[in-house]
Amino acid sequence: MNREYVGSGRPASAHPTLYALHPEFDPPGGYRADSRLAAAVNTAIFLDQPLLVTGDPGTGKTELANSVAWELDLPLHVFHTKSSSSAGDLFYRYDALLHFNDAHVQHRDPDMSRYIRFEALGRAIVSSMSQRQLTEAGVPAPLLKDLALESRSVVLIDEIDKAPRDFPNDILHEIDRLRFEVREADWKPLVANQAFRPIVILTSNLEKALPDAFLRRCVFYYIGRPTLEGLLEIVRTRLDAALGAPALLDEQRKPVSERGKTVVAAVKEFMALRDNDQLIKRPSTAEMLKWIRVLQKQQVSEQDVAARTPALLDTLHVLLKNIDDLRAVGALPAS
Amino acid sequence: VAGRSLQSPGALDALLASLREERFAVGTSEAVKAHRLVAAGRARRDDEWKFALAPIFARDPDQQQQFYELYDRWVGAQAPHHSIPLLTHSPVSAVAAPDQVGRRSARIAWLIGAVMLVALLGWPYLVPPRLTVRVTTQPTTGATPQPSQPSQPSPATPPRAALPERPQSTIDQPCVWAGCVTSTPWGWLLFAPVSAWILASLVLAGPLRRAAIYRRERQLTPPYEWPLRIGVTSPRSDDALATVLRMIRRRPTGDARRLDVARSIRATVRDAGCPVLHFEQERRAPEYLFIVQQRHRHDHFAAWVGLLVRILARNGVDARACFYEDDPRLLRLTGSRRPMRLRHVAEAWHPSRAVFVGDAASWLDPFTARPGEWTRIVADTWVERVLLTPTRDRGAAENRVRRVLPVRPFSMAQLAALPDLFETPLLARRDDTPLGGGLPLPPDHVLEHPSNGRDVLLRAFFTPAVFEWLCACAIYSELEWELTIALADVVAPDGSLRNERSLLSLIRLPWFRYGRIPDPWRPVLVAALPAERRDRVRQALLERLQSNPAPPGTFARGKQTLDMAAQRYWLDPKRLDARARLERTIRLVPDADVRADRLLTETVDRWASESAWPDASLRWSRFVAGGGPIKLASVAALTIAIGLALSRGTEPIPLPVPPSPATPAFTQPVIPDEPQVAPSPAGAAAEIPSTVTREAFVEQVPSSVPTPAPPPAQTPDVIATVPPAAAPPEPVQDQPSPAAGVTPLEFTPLPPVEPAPKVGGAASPVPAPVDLEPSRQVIPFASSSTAKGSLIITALTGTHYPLPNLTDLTIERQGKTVFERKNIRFDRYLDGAIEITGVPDGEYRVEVDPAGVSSQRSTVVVRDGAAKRIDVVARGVSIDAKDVRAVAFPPYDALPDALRSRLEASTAVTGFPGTSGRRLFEALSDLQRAALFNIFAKASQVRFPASDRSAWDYVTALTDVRSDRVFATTDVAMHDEIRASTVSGLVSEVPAALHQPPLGFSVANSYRTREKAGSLQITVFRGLDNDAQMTVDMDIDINSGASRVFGIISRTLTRSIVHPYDVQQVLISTQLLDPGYRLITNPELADAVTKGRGGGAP
Repeated sequence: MNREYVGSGRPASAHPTLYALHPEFDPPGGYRADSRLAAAVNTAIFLDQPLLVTGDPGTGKTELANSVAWELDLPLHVFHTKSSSSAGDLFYRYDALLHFNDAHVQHRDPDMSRYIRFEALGRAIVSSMSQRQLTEAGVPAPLLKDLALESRSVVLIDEIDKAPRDFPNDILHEIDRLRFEVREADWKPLVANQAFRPIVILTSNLEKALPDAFLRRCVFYYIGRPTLEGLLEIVRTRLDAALGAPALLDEQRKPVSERGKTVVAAVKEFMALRDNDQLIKRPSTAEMLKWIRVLQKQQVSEQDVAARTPALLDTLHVLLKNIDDLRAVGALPAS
Repeated sequence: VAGRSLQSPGALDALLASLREERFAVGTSEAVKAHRLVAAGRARRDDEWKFALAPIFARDPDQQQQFYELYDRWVGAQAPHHSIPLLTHSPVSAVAAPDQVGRRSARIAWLIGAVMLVALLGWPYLVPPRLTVRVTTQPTTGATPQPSQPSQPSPATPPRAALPERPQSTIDQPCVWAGCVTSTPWGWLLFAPVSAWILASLVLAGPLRRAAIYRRERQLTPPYEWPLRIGVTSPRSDDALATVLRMIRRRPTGDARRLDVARSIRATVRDAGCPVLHFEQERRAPEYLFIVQQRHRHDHFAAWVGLLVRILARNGVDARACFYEDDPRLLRLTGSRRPMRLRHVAEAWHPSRAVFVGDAASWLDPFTARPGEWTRIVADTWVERVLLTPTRDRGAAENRVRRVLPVRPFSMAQLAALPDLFETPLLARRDDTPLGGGLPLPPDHVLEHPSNGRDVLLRAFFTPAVFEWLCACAIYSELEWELTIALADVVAPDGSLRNERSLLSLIRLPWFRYGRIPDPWRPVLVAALPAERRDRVRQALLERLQSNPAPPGTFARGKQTLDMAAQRYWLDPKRLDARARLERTIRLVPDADVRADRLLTETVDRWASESAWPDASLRWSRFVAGGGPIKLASVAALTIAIGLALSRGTEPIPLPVPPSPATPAFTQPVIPDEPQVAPSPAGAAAEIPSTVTREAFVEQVPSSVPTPAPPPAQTPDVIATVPPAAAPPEPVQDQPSPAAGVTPLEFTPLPPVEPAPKVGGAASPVPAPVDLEPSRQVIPFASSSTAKGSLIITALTGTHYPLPNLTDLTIERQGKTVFERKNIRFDRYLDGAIEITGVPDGEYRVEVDPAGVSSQRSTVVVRDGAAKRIDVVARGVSIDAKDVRAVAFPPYDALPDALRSRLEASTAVTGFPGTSGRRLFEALSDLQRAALFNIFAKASQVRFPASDRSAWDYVTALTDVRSDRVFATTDVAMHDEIRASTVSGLVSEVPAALHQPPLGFSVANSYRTREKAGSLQITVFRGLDNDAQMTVDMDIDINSGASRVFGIISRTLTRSIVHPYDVQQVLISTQLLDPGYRLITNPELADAVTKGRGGGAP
């Protein structure tokens, strides 16, 4: 695949694979990646290395994976990291209790396809392999029924910094070679086909430092906080259609209605809160989008936003999640 | 972005080298990735490479931004060499390089100015000079003293013989420069614009210079400092580090349990199929959060801890550090520029083990001295926590903090023991562990100031090797962590200093925690280092500075260039080129950079003191460095000033008439009339002396100027002629007649000044009048008046010199004006008085209204034909120092013993080595002598109540006589005496910040007497090596309060001094203290004084 990621939000084909595979998936058509981010994605793709994307919450890290999959017309596999995640969880899950139960109580034949479930990276590696390779490896056919074989895919490992420290250390080798073994089954190791190596995107909120060894195997990109223009563009692409007529912003991100003016004022207010170092938990872009929806729903006017009337303060609970922060901005009476 | 392209051969390798210099992790894999990317041509445009390559090398947001900036700099650099070029000459030129347009215009301005100046200066050669002779007749009365007869008038009765009428020849000086230039229309055409331009330049010189400096500095960019990056590893041996790593990585057991499948199956099989489930305790990798106190950005202790944390992180330990300065509630994470609150950190890293490193006191509330409220966050968040402190002794702070935090000493062994501490709560509760061992920390009083023996005292707190290491650190102006570690290897190449014990004993010093060795200590420590080792350290320092160039065009680059030039100079102070380079660099960097380095400041001061004209060349160079047009203006102004001084216009100047029997030498020529002055009657004129002999001058004018012996070969002993009333001399504001209004102040011996006479219970600012002088102006009250009464009106300046202003005089009687004269000059005669004769008896109201000064009115009653005197003292009118033509000092033999003996004892005065006594006195300039006389007079007046000795009595010898101050060695008892006098209120203690101690001395204290004007400040310096050595710096300030502050600011900005002539006048006018010399503004008198001095007699 020689196509490059542009970040324009335009899919490569009329019926993207992602959409075909997951009709419930919300196409990230409105997502716009700037040239820096696009360059980083292309570097990662070219070097066949995972892309580690960091940034404040709500800056579009997770959306990036959707956008890449959407633009490059590739299936997306998502792994949400948990504090209890281990390296093996990234490839497959083995239901030991079910296996134990089956073996002990129901005396069934050990059909491993019942107890093994490929996870995001495992699915990506398996889908990069050919049928012949999988057969030779001993992977049962039922496990492959949802997978398009010999195809490239995008893997999103979300919020890797939530995992224990061992997690990134443990997946170093697997990430590097895209190879794993299912210890519970008598299969050969599964290795990604070089021609269809998955595009791995990891996200981190920088809550924890990741090991140097892990970082060395990644391509790094930090998404800064969006500017006013960027935020308005996000609002325009994400909310304009969703909120219905009349339109909020035009192509130049200028308000075209009273509602649009409210949105611009709200975005500025959001930026003030976002950049306020005194707040304990500062709001993210995603929360801003929700807040703007609430503002529209409550019919809060531009003047309300500017004057911080009670109508506006009542909606700040959507943005601020800390009681001290709410007190600090006047949404709650001081203690 | 334009410049180099990545796809040119070798370009990428050059970029990688630059990245390595900037501490990016550029390993083989990163290099291969970058080469692959570039070879594939993955970027469409040149500027896209930045974004394509950054993800390979950046590891965090700051590095990403740093990469963008570095790439732009690298691509924009024009130099073919890959690394950023070293600054070879000056930071300013590197900065100003883009401003080619400004340079060109400056050059053009220079060229035009130079051409015009050449034309202007060459004008006399183009236009033939004219020579004119004018003969005038000056009516004079009386007889002229015969030159053949030695004039020996009595000092008490100056000669009053009238001069015979005689022709006066004057000649227009052969056309001197300015006169020639302005003598033709073409000359005016050239002269006028150049003069106007020069005038404008002079007016604008200050603002232009400031603008130029601002412009130059505006082009400089941060960073302001560039820490030396040497790439040190941990100073601890690998074994200890390995132990720490092994121990600290030990995995503790977690709270969760997980099904152990293998064990469960085995157990189930063993139990014949009966399910037996086994769970295993989950073990997790430990996470460490180090919260480190960083008192200063160069806090070595924090830097060491930070380095250890980085080493731990690099070796797989989940460790990170955040720093706080004084208040642990506000933290800064490593690699992040954004501050975080302790609460946020606690929320984000609550599962970690918290290791607090720093002083226990920082965890106490400064008001209650109890653990601060914020320590509750610590207690509530981190179960596993400990405070590691560099403090050696367990004090009150440690004991109070232990309620919240177990306190342990910081050491590698303690780091290795952390897992045990955390996993064994019992251990954590036992916090009676002794803190740091080894040598105790030097107490504050030892670290405060080096003094006699205190360097030895300091030495006692270190091993010899560590003390040498400390001395080596003092060579550089700042303490930087990496440099300190590198210097350990320079001092001890065998690596014997690279151990934890040595390092801890050094970096526990407050100096290393605050990143600076106090100024007084640096020279002492540097001097304590053997010369050979000192040079080795300087050499090593130079190499480090050269290999770590700050980016061009930054403030840091200038400082670095200065450091390098200074180190090169100190390596070999005899090398003239090194000194020249250092001087050049000093001129180009901000003053603050120079002042920041005590050693450098001392060097500059030494240069200045060695110079015959202290600091002049440096000052001039700084001024000239202001910018092209200003340079031109400076040169032009100097040239014009010299030209004007030479020419003094085209006014006729006296043509020396050859001595003849009828005409004495030095006869004053024609002086223009003053029409407003009523012509004196012949009788009155006969009373006025037309000449003043040397003796008369000495007697009348400077009362303290001793009477010199007349030169035997000089027959006519008339040194000046005072013109008759009909032809009064050109107004001179001189003179020297303080005797006219001041209580006679004898100089030999200098008496203590008596308090001013009390009038009505208050001290009268006006001294008691003296007897009338015969040389006053006499004006008849009315032509027809036959009355006998007279009014003698004296108008003096605040310093008791005749009032130089034009003055209106009005006399009223019963509401009617009976006498009125405009524009009278009181300074025409030596006593500054006029006498109005023929005043009838009656009550008069006299109004004296000098121009520019408020008028004064007095009522006087004339009875029985008596003479009545009215004295008017106009405050604020004094003689401008620049109008002083000469100064009459007493001869050496007439000096008071107290002064003469000190001069004879002074054999090492700066600038006059080996000179003392009379030779020293005669070698001093007028300004230096004036300052010496002022300070001598004032210091003799200040008497300490305890011993009744004056401040001067303690002076043993002079070491430096400057135009505004005197340095002298004194008896050590003086300090105690002054200190005791603070109680009595004679002096008060004042800051000594602006007083630089001489080499080998340190400031002990500074005191000032309490006068509002003319206060004596005595700054005491103690010897660095010998406490018994004491030197004082004595100076006199003419202001007090806010005006003194503004005066200091003004003098600092203009780099000027308190002029000794101003001081003299202040002492006379406010304290009736006469330093004993006279200021001469009358050119003729000045000439006579100067000639007298040149002839061997003052």
